[in-house]
Amino acid sequence: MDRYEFEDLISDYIDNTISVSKRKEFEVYCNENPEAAELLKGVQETVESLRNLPKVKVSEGFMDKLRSRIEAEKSRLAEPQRVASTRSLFGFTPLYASLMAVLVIAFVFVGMELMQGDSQPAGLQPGFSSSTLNPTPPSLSSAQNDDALLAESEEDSLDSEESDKGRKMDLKDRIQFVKDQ
Amino acid sequence: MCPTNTPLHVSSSTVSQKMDDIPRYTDEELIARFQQGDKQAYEELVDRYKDRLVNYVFNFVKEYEMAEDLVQDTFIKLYLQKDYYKEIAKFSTWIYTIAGNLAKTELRKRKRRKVTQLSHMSRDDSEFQIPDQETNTGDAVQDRFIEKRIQAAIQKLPEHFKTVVILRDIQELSYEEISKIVEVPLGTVKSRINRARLQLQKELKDLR
Repeated sequence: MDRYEFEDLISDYIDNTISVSKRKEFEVYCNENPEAAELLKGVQETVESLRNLPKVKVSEGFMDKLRSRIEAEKSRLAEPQRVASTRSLFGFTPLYASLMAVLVIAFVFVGMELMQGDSQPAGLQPGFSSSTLNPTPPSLSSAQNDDALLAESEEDSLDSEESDKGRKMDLKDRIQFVKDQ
Repeated sequence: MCPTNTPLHVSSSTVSQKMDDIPRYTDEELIARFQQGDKQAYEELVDRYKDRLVNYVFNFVKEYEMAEDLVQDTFIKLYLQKDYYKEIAKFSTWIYTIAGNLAKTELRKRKRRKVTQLSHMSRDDSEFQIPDQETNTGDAVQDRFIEKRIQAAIQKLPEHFKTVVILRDIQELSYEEISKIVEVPLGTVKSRINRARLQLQKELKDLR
């Protein structure tokens, strides 16, 4: 037996998991080598002191604290299940379902209003609106403004026609000039 | 002269028998009863393992309150996930695995936090915060010092050495059970325990 083999077998020797023949061999080596005996003694004492370390114990209120933590954990786990069960209304939560219902009702209502607006009384020409039938005359100022805007737009249109004509004349002159050359 | 070999190891079953004064049900029977809805069986399991687990986890995290919280987390997992246990493994193996995994996760979180923290308590102030139950007599102070040195030596070990040596020499579990908890072959467990013990012996040489 050499030093390496001896070191490898120390724990087996201490824990009694070594064959009888190996045990004898180990003890012979140990007796012949004081350093090896010293090492074995050191390891045995180390193991002993590890086993004699004071044992830590749980505190007094351990069980009560554990029970309350279990209760808290159980209610925490129950929470998402409750939410999941309320999501069974066509895949919507009650809040979203009611919002969707309000939107659908509003859409139907507006649609019906529009359809009523389209179906006019029989005597009226198309293009007549309720404002045309309104007996109250529009205010003067607004009528004047409308006339002024109309006049301006007419002027603009005339101006633009004249300027177009002028540009065409200019071009004709230039073409002529080129031809003349 | 080769020192005589006195058997140091007491099997975990012997310890449990001493602790519980020969229980009526085995752990496996209790978990089976709990799986069928017997809350009393759950409480009995908690009672059997609470001290052993807090002792085990404390050796990893070094803070008593944190160790107790992690053991509570372990028992909450047991309560909520009782059906995950299958009788192919021993109950003790299963519960130690859960507690060990929670402790290691906590250690990893702490490592990450330590990296980001620029200032933290000095080593002597922060380590081994066991609730002080002893009077400050000379012997108690000496014992406390030795205990601190041993704990510090354990903390210096690489994680895979630390786990097996705690399970073997502090929790006093069998090699087979340790092999199942850490999920490595029996030979590897033996070799790791041996190397861990040699390393501890080297660290604690001056205490003798």
